[in-house]
Amino acid sequence: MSSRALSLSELDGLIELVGLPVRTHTLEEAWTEATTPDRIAAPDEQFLLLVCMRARPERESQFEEAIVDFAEFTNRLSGTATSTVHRSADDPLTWYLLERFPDQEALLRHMSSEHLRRFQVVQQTFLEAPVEVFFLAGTRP
Amino acid sequence: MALSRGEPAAIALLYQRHGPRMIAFARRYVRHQGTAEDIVGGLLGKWLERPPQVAEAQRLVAFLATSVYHAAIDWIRRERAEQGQPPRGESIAAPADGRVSGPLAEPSIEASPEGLRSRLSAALGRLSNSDRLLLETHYGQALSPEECMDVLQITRAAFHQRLHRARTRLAGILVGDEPADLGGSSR
Repeated sequence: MSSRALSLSELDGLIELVGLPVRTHTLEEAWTEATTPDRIAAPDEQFLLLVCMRARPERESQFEEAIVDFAEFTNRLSGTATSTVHRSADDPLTWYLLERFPDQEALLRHMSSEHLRRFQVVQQTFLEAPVEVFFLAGTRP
Repeated sequence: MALSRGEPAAIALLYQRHGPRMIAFARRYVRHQGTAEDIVGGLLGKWLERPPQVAEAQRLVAFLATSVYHAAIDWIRRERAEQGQPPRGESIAAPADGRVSGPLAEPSIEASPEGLRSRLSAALGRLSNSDRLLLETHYGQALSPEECMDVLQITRAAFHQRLHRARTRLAGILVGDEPADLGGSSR
């Protein structure tokens, strides 16, 4: 091993580069501190939806295009809602949308939008089963 | 476990039960509610794409705390990199090949990031619990200084003094001229 000393600023740089591993029980301690009821923000009105879909194998690429377009359209159009697309690595035919709406009004606007209606039409042809929707935050209006 | 199979219902239930805590925990590190929500949302998306590996014996709190912490720290590192902020302190130069110059970069010593990570882990393993907690607070932001002082039952002055000693000790162990401190001052 080297006999040359490592300065504290070099130590800082080294740790900045590779990160310092933190033990699980330290994080559990931090979790306990951070998640006391007074530190959890009061639930607001937001809605978080998880939408699960499985494409027909022969429609896979068309559905991919449709779902990506749909999410981009939602993000661009609403300005307040966010929609992200996720695809299962284990089952590439399975797709998920995580959609967040700041309030019920935004959700209702989205649900009555023309681009959702068009996407629902596409689903009838491209999906092998009806979509499954989970309300992670907020309840179905 | 349904979560390890990536079942959407299990992920939904996990969020319904623990989402606000996960967000509060992320906010502790990123200091912003919206960003914390994005981080937790990103984590859910990641789990939907690739089911999380949750060991049978692992407690759910340990799994959530570890997952959210790493997602938040990754976000902070990305943000700093995107903003072109230099590392804290005077950094060791990192040439393009990823090797690190300076005292750890002698030919006989593995100095790739993986090698450094492994040496750092080994060195940390030779420190006392309290030294390690001080370093996890300072470098890993795992606890706030106040929480760390509370756990160790020490004053602010003692915190800074002992942190300095812990850093010096770690630097010494990394270059092989500091005996391990296995004794003691446990938490």
